Amino acid sequence: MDEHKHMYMNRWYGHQRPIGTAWCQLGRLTVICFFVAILLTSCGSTDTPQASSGHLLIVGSTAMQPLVTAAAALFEKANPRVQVEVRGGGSLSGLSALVNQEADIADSDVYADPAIYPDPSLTDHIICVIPFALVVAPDIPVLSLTHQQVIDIFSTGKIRNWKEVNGPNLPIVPIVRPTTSGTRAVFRKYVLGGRDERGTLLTTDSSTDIRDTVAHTPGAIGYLALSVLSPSVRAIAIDGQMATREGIESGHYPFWAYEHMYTLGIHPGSLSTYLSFMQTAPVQQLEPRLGYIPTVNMKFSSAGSSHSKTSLSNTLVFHESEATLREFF
Amino acid sequence: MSFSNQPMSMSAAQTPFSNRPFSSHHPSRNPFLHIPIAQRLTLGFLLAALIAAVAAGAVGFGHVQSLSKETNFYQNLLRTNTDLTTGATYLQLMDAKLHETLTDALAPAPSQETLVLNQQALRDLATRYNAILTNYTQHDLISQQPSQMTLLTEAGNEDQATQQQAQAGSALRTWQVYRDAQEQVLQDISTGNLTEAQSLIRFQAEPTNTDALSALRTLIQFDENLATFVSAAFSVEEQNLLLTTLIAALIACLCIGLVGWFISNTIIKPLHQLRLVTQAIGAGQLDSRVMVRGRDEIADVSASVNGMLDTIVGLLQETRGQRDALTNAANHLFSYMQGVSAGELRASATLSNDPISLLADAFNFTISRFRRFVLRTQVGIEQLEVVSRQEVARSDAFVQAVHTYHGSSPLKQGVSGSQGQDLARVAVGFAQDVTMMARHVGAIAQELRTNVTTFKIETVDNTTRSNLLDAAANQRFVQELPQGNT
Repeated sequence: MDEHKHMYMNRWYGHQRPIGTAWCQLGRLTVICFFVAILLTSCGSTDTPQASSGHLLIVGSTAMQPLVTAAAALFEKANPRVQVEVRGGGSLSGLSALVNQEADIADSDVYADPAIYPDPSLTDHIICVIPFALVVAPDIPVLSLTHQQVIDIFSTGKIRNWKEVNGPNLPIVPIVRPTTSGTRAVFRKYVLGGRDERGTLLTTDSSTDIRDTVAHTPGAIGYLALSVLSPSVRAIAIDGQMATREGIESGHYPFWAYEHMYTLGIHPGSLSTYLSFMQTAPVQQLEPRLGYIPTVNMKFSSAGSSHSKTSLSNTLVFHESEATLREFF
Repeated sequence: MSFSNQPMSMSAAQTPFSNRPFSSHHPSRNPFLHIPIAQRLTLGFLLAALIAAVAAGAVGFGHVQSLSKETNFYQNLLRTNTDLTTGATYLQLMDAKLHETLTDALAPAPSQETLVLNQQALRDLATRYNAILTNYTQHDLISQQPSQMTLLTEAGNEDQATQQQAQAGSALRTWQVYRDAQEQVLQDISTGNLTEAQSLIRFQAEPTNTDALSALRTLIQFDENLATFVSAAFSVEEQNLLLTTLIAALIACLCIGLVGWFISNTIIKPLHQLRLVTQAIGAGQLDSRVMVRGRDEIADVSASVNGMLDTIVGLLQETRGQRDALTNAANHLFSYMQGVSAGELRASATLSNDPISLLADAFNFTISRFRRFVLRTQVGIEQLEVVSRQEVARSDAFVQAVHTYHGSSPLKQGVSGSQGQDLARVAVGFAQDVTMMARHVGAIAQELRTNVTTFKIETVDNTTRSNLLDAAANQRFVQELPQGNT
């Protein structure tokens, strides 16, 4: 029958699509879940420690004081709600103030003795390296002394005249710091090897006094931190090595010390912010200008000092300093 | 004769398939429609299970990774801590041993053997500590462990790595200085320079040992603080993992939903079309058909439904055609009946092969019989007319004869016997004529009556209506009826 031919003229129900209400609901659910997820992320993000308003008291080393004061000024500018007070008084007084909880940070040139300060929460933060140098009056033309010569000058007394070290015929006047001086301790430990000092004893441990005395006493020799070096005196090398970053990194120059900031524990808030701030670039750039050496990119070496008889494995690493170092001559 | 059909109703909308020959299966874009439903559902469930398993597995794997990282870190920490603490012990032992050596040397009769032993011990301790420290500073610093560095960076404390480096340098330096001092002391003792040795111990060895210990303690403390920093990093990682888990769950949900939606769509869509078609059929649109896609069970049902609908529509159309034909025939018959009722008695209804034609046939027969009746009646009427005219003429003649007799002689004198006998003869003859005429009329009437009684005019039951050709039976039947029903 030809009626069949008309059947495909019929209306074909093949194009209708059922409206997926389930799909709409699923879409809504997805959107809600994503919002929840975003909320969780924002809730779970680590809270950046805000420098809350507060007061920080820093007591201790006078050698560190210029740096710490400058850094504190920078910090206060960045965090106006925090007040930072910097005082001197010496490393040991700073440490004792810290353990008595009178100060927040103790600046120290020396390591805290674990027997004297056994508090397990006492935390050491190394800030920078402070180089020291032997200084003479500008009229003494001697450029370098050997380590043994330095010992003989300052301790054993075997060398008493400049002419024995290729200098003018002038008696050597070693300027000696008081026993409480941290700088003296550093000198004894790292240069003299523990021997006693002999020389003109100063009553005050003031670097500027030393400088002036050396400048005005003929034939005088003293030592001070490079941060207080001025053109009135001249630094001399030890074993031909000047007090430079490379010399210290390589271990050829012995007369330097770490600068420590001791705290009781690590507290979140303004204290840890300040400590982190000390490691940041602005402070690290500040240090060479003031005569310190930043430790951030400094590679340590396990090289032996010039005193050691046994040779230990050396890993000498020379590292390019990021900040420019102004050499004080 | 065939009757023309009314044209079948056609849908106004043109479909894309109007030029193709009718086939039950159209090519489907979706390959899933070729898989039987049971297999499709199984596939869907398996796929959903697979997605869920993969998501759970990935998340679990991530968790395991994170946990193992944490475990590794703490294991490492424990190891280095133990090493460094052992080193601290060595430092203290060295200090004690150095003092002991000096004390032994200062004794009145120092034992050379003991001295040598002590020196060996000191040098051995020094070597051990050196090994510990150099190993630590060369392998175990954070900056040398990339995984720990990433953890620390996550916690936002990457400046601690440089601080640790500085601390390590400090520990190395102080150790070096002490070692030199210790060596110097031992040399002084062995050369007998005991006062020098004593002073050196007090002013150099002890302080530098303290320094070395302090620096080492810093390193140990640093490791402990590191744990605090890194646990913060771990919690951050954990939260990230939670977020990842959430997102993975969401995505898995989405995928499974998609799979389910897709597969259910392949079933629901054809069923929906089926439903629409059946609803349309119910609403009266008989030209709607289901588009058959694929080769699964639903496609088979759709094709069957289409076939069923085609059959139904065909039957419907056939019925309609028949009805139309019958209506047509009935209309024709009616028009002929109308003609008959108007007076035409032509038995000329068209005949065909349907019940109407039986009716037409009967109608034709009835009409013809009625026609014959009418004809016969006409004949009878004509005969009656002739007879009545004859009778009228005879009676006129009689009247004339009577008038003539009456006029010719006076009736008072008495009627002669012969004229009276002539009149009586004429009267008798006329009366015999009239009687003959009446008999003639009676015969005509009888014939007419015979014609009439072939038709039943009394009301009879429809079910007992018998064959119209059975006239005798009808007559008998009429005679048996009570007479009052005419």
